[in-house]
Amino acid sequence: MKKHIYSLFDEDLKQLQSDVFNMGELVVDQLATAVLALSRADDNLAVKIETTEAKINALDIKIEEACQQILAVRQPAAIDLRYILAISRMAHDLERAGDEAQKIFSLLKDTPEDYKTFQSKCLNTLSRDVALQLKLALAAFRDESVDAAASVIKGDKLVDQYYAENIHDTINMMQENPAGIDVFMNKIWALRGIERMGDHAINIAEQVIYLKLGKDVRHSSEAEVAEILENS
Amino acid sequence: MNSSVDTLFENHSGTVGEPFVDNAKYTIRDMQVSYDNNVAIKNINLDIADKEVIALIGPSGCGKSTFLRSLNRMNDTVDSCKVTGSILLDQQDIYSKQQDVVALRAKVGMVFQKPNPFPKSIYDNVAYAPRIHGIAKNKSELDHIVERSLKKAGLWNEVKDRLHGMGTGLSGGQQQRLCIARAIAVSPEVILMDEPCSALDPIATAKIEELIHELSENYSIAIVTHSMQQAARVSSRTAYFHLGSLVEVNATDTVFTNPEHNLTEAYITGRFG
Repeated sequence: MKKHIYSLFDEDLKQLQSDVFNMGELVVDQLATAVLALSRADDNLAVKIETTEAKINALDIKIEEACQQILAVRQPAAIDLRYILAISRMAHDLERAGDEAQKIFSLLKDTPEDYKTFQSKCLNTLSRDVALQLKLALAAFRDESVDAAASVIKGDKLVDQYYAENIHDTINMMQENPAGIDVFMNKIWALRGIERMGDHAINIAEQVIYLKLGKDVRHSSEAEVAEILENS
Repeated sequence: MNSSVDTLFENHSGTVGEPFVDNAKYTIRDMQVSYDNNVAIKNINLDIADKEVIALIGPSGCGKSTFLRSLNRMNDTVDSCKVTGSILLDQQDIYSKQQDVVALRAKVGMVFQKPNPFPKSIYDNVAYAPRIHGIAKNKSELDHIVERSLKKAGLWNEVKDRLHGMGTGLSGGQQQRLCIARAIAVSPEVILMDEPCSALDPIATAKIEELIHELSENYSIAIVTHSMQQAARVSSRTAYFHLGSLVEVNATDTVFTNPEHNLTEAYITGRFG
C-alpha cells in the first residue's frame, strides 16, 4: 500500500498486521503441540496449551480493540476499510482455530490410556498439511497476493480428501472393533478438529481476496470464486 | 498536490464508473468551464438523476464548486467565465438564449457554505422569493408557503413563535436551515448545496443531513462536501473530481468500499506516498 498522509495510521496498521501474524504462529504452534500431546499422552503439555490459548485470546481482544479504535478515530475507507475488516475477521478465525486445537488436546483427558490410537500417521500428516495451509494463507495476506490466496483455497480440496479417507478408514476400524468405539470416536473428533482448522485457513485466504479485490467470496462456490478471479 | 498523484492523473483517460442514468434530471455532456484562458473543468459528462442525492468530492481547486455553480448559471456574474458543452435540465438547454435565468434559479435552488440569511425577519426570508415570483395570491397563501417551507426544513417548531424575529439572530445551524427553507419556498426541483455544513457543529450538521435525506424524496440534490463521511452518509452516488476532470462516478457504497480508479482511492484513503 502507498503511504498514508497520517504516518501514525500506517504504524497502527503495521502493529495490527504484526499481531495477526503472531496470533497465526501461536495457532500453528498450538496445533502441533496438541497433536504431539495426544500421540505421547503427555499431559505435561497442558500448561503450554493453556498459556498459548491465553496468548491467542489476548491477541484476539487486542486486535479487536485496535480495529474498533481505528474505525472510530480514522474512519477508514476503501482499501483501508477492507484491511481493518479483513484483519478483524482473520483474528476471529484464528481465535476459533486456536479453540479447535485446544479441543483436540482436551481429548487426551477422555482417553489417556488409549493414546496409541492417536499415534496414527494420519493425524500428523493432516495437522502438518493444515499448519502449512494456515502459514500459506497468512503469507498470502502479508504479500497481498490473490494468487497465493487462491492456491490456499484450492489446496483445501486435498486436505478434505485426506480427511474423508481417514474418517472412512476409522469407521471401518470401528466396525471391526466395536469395543473400541469410544477411542475411535475421539480419533474422529481429532481429525475433524484439524480439518476445521483447515477451513479457517480458507477463511483467511478469502479475506486476502476481499482485501485486494473488494469481493466478498465467503459464501461463494469454487466456480464462483474462479470466475471472480478470472474477471478481476 | 502530491507529484505521484499528478503522475497518475496523466494516465487518466476518462470518467470511470456509471456517470449516466435512465431518469436524468440534468444531462451534462462535454462540459467545459474556463476563466479567461484558464480551463477550470473539462470533458465533464454526467447525468444527475431525478430525486437522487449526488455528492461531489475532490481536493480543493478540483472544480467541483465551479461545476455546481454552472448548474444554475451562478457563474454568469463572472465576466471572464465561459461555459461550453451541453447542460440540459429536463432536456432544456439552460444556457440557451431563451432561458430565463430567474426562472432557472427558482427551479434550481442553492445553499452556500456560509449561511446567508437576508437581514430581514425569519418570515420575510422565506417569503421573499415567493413574493418576487408572484407565487402567493394573498397573505394567507404566503403564510401557508412560509409554514410549509419551514416545516420541510425542520425549523418550524423552533421558530414558529418568533417568525418576525431577525433571521440573522438564529444559530448557525438554524440559519442554514432557514436558507434551505428559503430555497424550497419556490418549489424548486433541484437543490445545489456547496459545503452546507462546513461552518456547523456536529449536531447542526446531523440535522442538515437528516433534512437532505427527507428532501431527497422530492428533489434532486447535488452536494459539494469535503467530508468523506458526509458524502458517504447522505448520497446515493458520488462523483470524484480531480484537477478539473471527472475521474469517477459510482454508487456511493462502491466509491467508499471499493473505488474503481486509483486516484479516487488515493483521495478517499489519504494514501498518496
